[in-house]
Formats: sequence, C-alpha cells, structure tokens
Amino acid sequence: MTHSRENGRRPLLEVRQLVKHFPVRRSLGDALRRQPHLAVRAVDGVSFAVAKGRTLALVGESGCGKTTTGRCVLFLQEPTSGDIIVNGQRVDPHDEAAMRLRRKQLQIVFQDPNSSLNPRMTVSQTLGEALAFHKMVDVSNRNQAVNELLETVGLSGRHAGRYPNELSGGQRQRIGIARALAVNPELVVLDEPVSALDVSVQAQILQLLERLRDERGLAYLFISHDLGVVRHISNDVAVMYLGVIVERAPTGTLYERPLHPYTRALLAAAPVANPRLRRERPPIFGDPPSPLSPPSGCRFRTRCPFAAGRCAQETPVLREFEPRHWVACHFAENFRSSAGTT
Amino acid sequence: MIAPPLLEIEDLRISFGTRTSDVRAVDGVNLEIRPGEVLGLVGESGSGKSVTARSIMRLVPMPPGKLVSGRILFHDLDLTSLPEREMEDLRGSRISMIFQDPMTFLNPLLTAGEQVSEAIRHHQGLDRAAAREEVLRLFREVGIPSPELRYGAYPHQLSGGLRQRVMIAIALSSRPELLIADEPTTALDVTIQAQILALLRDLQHDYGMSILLITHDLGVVAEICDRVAVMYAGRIVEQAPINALFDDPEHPYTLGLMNAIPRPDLPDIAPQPIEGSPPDMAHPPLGCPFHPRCPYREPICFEDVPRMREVAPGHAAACHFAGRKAFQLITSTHTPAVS
Repeated sequence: MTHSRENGRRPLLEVRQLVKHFPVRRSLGDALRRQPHLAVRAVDGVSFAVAKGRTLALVGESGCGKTTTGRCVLFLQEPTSGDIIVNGQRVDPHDEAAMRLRRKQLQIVFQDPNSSLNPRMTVSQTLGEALAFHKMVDVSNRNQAVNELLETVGLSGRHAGRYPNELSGGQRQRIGIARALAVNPELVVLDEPVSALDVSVQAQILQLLERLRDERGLAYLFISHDLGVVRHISNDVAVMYLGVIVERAPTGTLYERPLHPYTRALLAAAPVANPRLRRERPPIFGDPPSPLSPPSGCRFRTRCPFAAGRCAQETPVLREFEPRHWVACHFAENFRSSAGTT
Repeated sequence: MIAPPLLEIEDLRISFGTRTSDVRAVDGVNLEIRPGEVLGLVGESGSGKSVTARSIMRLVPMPPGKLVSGRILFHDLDLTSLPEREMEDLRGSRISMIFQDPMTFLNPLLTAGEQVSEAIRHHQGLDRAAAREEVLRLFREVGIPSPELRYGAYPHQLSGGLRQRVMIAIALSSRPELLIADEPTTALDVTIQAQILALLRDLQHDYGMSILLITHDLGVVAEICDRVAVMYAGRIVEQAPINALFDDPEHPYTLGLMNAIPRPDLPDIAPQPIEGSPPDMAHPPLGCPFHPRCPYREPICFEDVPRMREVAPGHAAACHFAGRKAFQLITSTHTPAVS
C-alpha cells in the first residue's frame, strides 16, 4: 500500500517553500544599541505534497515546527512566505469567499478536545454550527445530519444533548473528528489527535480514523511525535528538525532504511514495549538548539555523531537519494549499507 | 529476593469525597518494593497509580482525600501514622520524589544551583562553600554540561531535559533509599527521554537505591524496570518480573494494553483497542472491575471480585482465569522455550 505511486496525478495539497517566522520584540535598549531584529524561525522552507486518500505524517520533537506547519496549511497562522496549493489553486488569504471554500476543503482536529470544544455548547450545537456555517443542510434536516455524524464517529443520537464535560476523553475526540467531517473536507490536519488519550482509547480512535479515510477517501496530514502511531497509520513520513524537513520517504522505507542521522536517532530513542530490545545507551546527547539562532550549515550538526567540517559550512539540500526517498544530509551515502537503528 | 522489602504497602484504600459520593481512587493495594530494584507501577489515567505513589510521601491532601484503611511500612515505620515532624525528616532524605513537570517543582526565583544547595544544607548541614562543591559534583553526576555555568541559571533558562536533571540532582542529594519517579519523562521528547532513562538506570546502579517508577507507558517500563505492577480501577491487577509480564501477561487488561500499543518494531500488527472506557470510580462495577470491557468474561466475573492468584514464582494476577485460560497476545515475539 505504501508503494502505490502518485502517477503524476495532481496532488490534493501542495506546500511549497513554506516559511513562518515569529518576530521577537526588541527592547528599547536593544533597539538603541542597533541589535538586529530576532525571529523564531519556526518553519524555514518546508515543501511537501499529499495526494487524495493518502496520509502524510509530519514527525519531530517539540519545537521542530510540525504544528506551525499544520496551522499554516489552514491559514490559522498566516505564512511569512511560501505557497499552499489545494487542487492546483492558490488562494489570497484576504479573499473571504475563497477562504471560506478553503476552510471547507481543509479541516483540523486538535490534540486536546477539552480546549477545542466549547464547554457551554452541547454536542448538537457544536456540530450544528459547523453545518450551518458552511450551509451543509437545511435547518429542518440539521438534527438528522447531526445524528448521522455521530453515528459516523461511533456515537449515537443520545450523545447529541450532552456537554463536553459529560463525555469521556475518547468521546470528546470523536466529537472533534465529527466536527471536522461535518463539512465533507478533502483533507484533515490531525494535530496529535491521540496523544492526550490513554493507550486503550488511542487504538479506538486510530481505528476510527483509518475507517473514515478508507470510506471517504480522505487525505490526512498527521502531525505526531509518536513513532509507533505514525508507522501504523501513515503512507509517507516527513521528519522535521528545527523548522526543516530532514528526511521524507514512504513509511516502510523510512523505518527500515533511515538515512538521516537524526531519523536514525529518533527511531533508536523511541522506547519499545519489549524488554528484550533494551538500549545500552541513548542514541544522541544534548538538547535541540534554539530556533532563534539555528546552527550554520546543517541544523542537526551540533548533536550529530557524524558531523564533519563541511556540515558547518554548507547547508545540505533535501535531495532524492533514491526514488521517493529524500534526505538532507551530505553523507547519506555512508548510511546506506548500515541500515536499521544506530 | 529473600531480603526483607524496603517498603510494604498493605491493603491501602484511599477515597476522595465529592458532593454526591465517595470516589475510591485506591481500592485495596498491596505492594512491596525490594531493595535495589526498579519497580514499575503502570496504569492509565485514573487508575490510582499516582495517588498510591503520593500516599507513600503523604502528599495526598486530606481532606478531600481520606485514608480508609491500610499501612505503609518503610523499614519498621508505618508512614500512615508517623508524626508529621518525623515524616518531614524522611521526605527528601530517605525517600525522594521527582515529578513529571519540573517547572511546578522548582522555585522560579532561585537559581538551579541555589535550590540544590538549599536541599544539601538542609539535609546534610554543610556550609555554603562545601555545599557548592557538592552541587557541582552532583550536576556532573546527573550529566549537566558546564555545571559552573548552570549553577547560576534560573529554571526558565534551562531546557526541559536540564530541568529534569536539576530535579534529579535535588532528589539524589540526600542519597535516598527510595526514589519515587512520577511520570519523569512524559513531558520530554523521545531523544531526551532516552537520556533521562539511561541516567536513572545508571544512578540506581551507582547508588544502590530502589526506584518506584510511575508511568502509563509500557515502552518506558520495558526500558528500565525489573518488576512491574499493573493498576486498574484502584487495584493492582497483575504483578510480575519484567520478562514474564511481557511474554505471558495473565490478566486480560495487561494483555489488552499490550495489544493496544502501536509497535514500531511490528508494523504488520494493527493495534487492538480495548472496548469501552475505564469505570467511573464513584460507582465501580460489581465483581471484577474489568469485566465490562473484558473479552474473556464469564458469569463469575460479574459477581466475584477476583483475588490475586500466583501463576508462577513472583507472577500473580487478579483474574479468575489467570493461568487457566490461554489469552492471546498478538504482539508476542518470543519463543516460549527460554525464560
């Protein structure tokens, strides 16, 4: 499944050279001393594409820019530069009508259903609002539409009158998913959709997401730090580090033949529920540097066990090392044979 | 194994009063921590694992909490009835604790070095200069790079991983016999988590202390624990040496948890959810608390609360069918011959 090709079809979503910088306010003193303007370079030139019915996972640790990327795709945050293209079309974020359509095509499910659902609205009000805003159904059919949505996500009409605090964490996340589906989107950004849930419930939600994808031909941009979940749900994976994609490949390839030293470290660091696979030592040391002033050249070089002089001077470009397997490392060739974890 | 336990919890029951009912957070827990072992206490949210751990340090606020019954024996002291004065001497010296979020534990107005120094001067009576030397030694020991520089850093200037190391340094400063670690790596990224787990394992070895590790993550358990206790609905439902638990879980809940984790090492196995959700502890089900979700339930499970049954040395499960039914572990990778 992970090897089916796109056959040159136009991707549903295409992101080109996305950049999002958050300027940091200078103090008056800094301004008088002519200190330069600083910016958190949260996303610094990210490109990828997602085809209809496919799932691309963005993985990385906190601060790598994966969530900001997801928000920029939906214009919940306005990109500093770069293009977000859906079905071949760019939109002007100031064009209200175009943005309305865009918001129907692309929806989002957040990590924490407690903060993304209005505690003063019942389930049927929350879902009804989404249906009404995008004029999905007549007022007379709204209740029926709400019930159908609830059934789609494994709940029933008896949940319609409840408030979020009367639901369990898993049920709340199902409402979050139902709200996203209310407008029949083509792509859903899933921002850590199961991270706040207990494992037993997490698997329920993953099953639901897979079923919905298959039934409705949905595409997902799946943002996660959990490599176990990602391996299970995604077709392709892009690994981010300090605002850039360092490796991108079909899921099986990425897990079996990772090339970038960061990907290899990330895979080796994830604890596996098997006491016979204990590690001797942690794969890498130290913390990620600040995105205010990322290292010159390769951003991973300060933690990379294989860093050489060239890594400080030259920024490695994301190149297609083998078909559909992209990597941004000067020395990727060296890691080809020694596949697996470090 | 013959050595007497360092800490023994006997029939601990703690409830929290709400306006309408009593919530039984801990409902009859029996647990031993042996000298020099890393014991994992695993469970999902609301299972009572944190309340159990905190009750050892007597950090459960009462009220609203209420000790219904039970004893916690540390050597020959019963921690549930120890005078507060003596408990204070014990806390942070012979028993230390680290938490999920160091930011709520560290004082934002004191530098990292001052906080550790304060703990050392309090417990060991060293003077300022000697305490400073000891702090720097501890910082090196817990892997804080450039310790002199970090001594003067405030918590907000440190990364999450470094803050966790500072908290570990404080906990270790008194050379405790027992370290309680409550979800110590849950808020950290995986590469940092791996570093902190390796550190805890090394320190446990060097100091010869026992660690009680509270976690929801069976991956973390597999990484550093010697023995595991699984909690569900306020009770311990299974206890076993680490390999036995992962090879042959004898409680359907443990089994369900293992089948539910997406395994990066086993890509062809889809995670299997446990149907339903954990019970409302204000109105727990009759009989086995897991029976409403259990695929193996039989009529007896609706009525009788199962007792812990030993199925192998050191391996016990609270299930009527432990050792008598073949539970199916989909993630099993081992060949049963060895062990």
